[in-house]
Amino acid sequence: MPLKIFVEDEKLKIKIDGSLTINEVLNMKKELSKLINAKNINFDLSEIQEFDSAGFQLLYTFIRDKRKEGITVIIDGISEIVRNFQETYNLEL
Amino acid sequence: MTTDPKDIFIEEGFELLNIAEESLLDLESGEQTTEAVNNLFRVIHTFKGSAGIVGFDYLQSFAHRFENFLDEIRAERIYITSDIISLLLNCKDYLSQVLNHIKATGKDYNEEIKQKGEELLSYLDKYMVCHLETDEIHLRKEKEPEIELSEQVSSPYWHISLRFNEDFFMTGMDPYPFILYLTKLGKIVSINTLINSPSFLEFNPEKCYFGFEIQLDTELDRKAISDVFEYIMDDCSVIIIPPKSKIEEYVNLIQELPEDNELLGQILVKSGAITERELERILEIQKKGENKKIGELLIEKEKVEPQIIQAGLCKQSSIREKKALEQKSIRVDAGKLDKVLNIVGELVTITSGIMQRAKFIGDAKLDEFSSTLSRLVSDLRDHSMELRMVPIGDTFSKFKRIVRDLGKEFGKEIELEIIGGETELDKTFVEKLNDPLVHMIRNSIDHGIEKAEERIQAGKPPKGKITLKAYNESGNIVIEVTDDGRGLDREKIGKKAVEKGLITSYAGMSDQEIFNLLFLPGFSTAEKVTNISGRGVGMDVVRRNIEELKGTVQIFSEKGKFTTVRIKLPLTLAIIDGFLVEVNRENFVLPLSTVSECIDASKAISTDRHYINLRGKLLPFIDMNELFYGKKTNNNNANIVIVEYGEFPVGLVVDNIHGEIQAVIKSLGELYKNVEFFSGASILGDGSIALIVDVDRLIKFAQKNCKIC
Repeated sequence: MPLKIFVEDEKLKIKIDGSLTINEVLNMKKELSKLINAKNINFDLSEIQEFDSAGFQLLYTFIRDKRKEGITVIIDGISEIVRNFQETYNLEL
Repeated sequence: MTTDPKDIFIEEGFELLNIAEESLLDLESGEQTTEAVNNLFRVIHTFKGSAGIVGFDYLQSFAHRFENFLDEIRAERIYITSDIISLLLNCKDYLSQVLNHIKATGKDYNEEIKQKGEELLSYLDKYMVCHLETDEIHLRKEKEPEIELSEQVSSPYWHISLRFNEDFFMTGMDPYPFILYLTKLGKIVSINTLINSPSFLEFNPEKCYFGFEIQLDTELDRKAISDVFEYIMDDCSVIIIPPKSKIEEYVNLIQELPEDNELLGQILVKSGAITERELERILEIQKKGENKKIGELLIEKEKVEPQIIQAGLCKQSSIREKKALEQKSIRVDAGKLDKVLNIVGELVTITSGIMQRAKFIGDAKLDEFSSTLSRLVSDLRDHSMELRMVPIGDTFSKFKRIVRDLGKEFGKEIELEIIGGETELDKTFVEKLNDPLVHMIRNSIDHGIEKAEERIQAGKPPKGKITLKAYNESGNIVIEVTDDGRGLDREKIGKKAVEKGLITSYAGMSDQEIFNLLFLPGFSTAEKVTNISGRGVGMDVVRRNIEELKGTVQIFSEKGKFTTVRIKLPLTLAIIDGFLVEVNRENFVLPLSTVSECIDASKAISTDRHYINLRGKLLPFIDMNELFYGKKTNNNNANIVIVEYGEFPVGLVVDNIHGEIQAVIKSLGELYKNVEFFSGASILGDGSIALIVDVDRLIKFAQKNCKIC
């Protein structure tokens, strides 16, 4: 789960590469929990190759809560597998 | 284990009704009122559902009306009074009666049952009507429930509601492939995914918070749809509602799912399962059943899965067992256990044969094997006995009802305290103890506990108390029934006994002896015969029943304070640890639990009297040779076995002592059943027969004949 977090144009960008499955969710949660002060978050999910419902649930919960806090979360890119999940579940991240 | 769904239903039905009765009694005593009402409602609801599954429509319809009534109580539209509790108890009894009828005839009604049912329902209706008259809006609602419930929803699609257990991911599963697979069965018209995860900080990403509401357009039947989830049935809950279903199905669905009702309703509307108008109806109907717990979800689920009735019932059973006992258990037919115990009995006999033979042959290796075998068989014996042991608590709880009903009848307020309900005893005992205990409790309520005014005058709390207590005591089980009533009146009992010609005078008799008069047939001191006691059969029957179980019964009492009836029972009836002795070259078995020590006879016996000197204490003794064969024992070789039963020790003079054995008790048969001093016989390892000595009777005999004590 290579996770890249960097700031670009005053926006916090998060890029997840490779795999986000039940095996990675615990660590990913730890990493994401550190991002407390971000005002704008952009996700790049275009490089996710392995994905499952646990990964989906993690992203969904994180994004849902941030938006509730009034933080703008934008998905910049999305891989095919993540898109398939969104479509099947009829639920957009 | 029985596999006929109807048998399972009957068995569980009785269990449910027992729980219902306990809840009703809790309600009356004011304990955990809300919890008790909810519990009661759940139980009757489950009962109704199960009755429906196995096709007992009449029973189901009665339970339905019963449930409606409970619903009114839950909604606090009917207030609980003592009369209502009595009525509900009657309804519960009625359901038990119907179950018994089903057991006997296989049908859930006949004319008589229907008539009684109608009568009870009319009583229930009276209360319903009473409160409806004051609430006209509600009256309208009540008048047309059937029409409301039989309405259909307009959706032409199957509705599938899925909720996954939290550890679903941890079992290596994922909901995704299951949803994908559904697309192969038909067209997913709409899908609503719910992720009910807590806030991100509290959220455990390895737990599954997924749920789905799916509308599926397919030509397939329910079984084909439910087969998709067959392998994950234990890890999720699946509710499948067919197209154009009754609106009631959705009422149940909304009640059962964990989410907020209105929110869920909106989701269903969004997914097209129901229309706005239908949702309004549903919410209106379900308002009455808001407190329904998720625990019923699985049970309800089976209701919509009639094709797998049997699996459903078995599953219900396991759910309820988990709920009630929270421990793993299986049901085994008592007959099978008896068979096992019989075989173990034979095994015990043959093992002691092998032991004896091994000793005779004197081969060291064989000796070793036979001792190991003997130890294993002895373990096996102990464990198989344990299989038959059941806690007395269930039997005790049944008396709550009796105490309540009789207390009411006599206008006495009585509390029942149960101590040691976890004490285990042989199943046979539990069954046979029921009648004696009922007699004793009736006696306590009728004769023992005073009326409130009398109690206050005597400086006691107005509420009487009956205590049922069970405990283990040196290889025996003791059961005590104690009341804090007026106690036994020595004078009154004595006079009555003289009057009845049972004794000539009671002067000089000990309290114990006088109390024992109560056990004589035909004795009753009650001034008037009531319908529960005073017929003079009670205590006589009690003693006879207990003696049949090889037990003893004693009474302790203090005037004005208490009366205690103490029953002492052996641990089991089938196999005992015995002590083998020889008298005139015949073998006799003494129950090991009664043997306290052995001494050399030549040193202890005083020649001219019937007592021995045991470390400065005088002890009566019985010469077994003299008693059984009419000749005195030769003092030089003899031994004395000191036996004790109750608190009274006696010495038994025997020729030889062979030591401990396991004795399988065989009854003596009809011809010998009145033989004094013997409770049975046992076959020894060498095939010879040893009589088992009834130490209790022997001691009583000694008490009568030796006046030193």
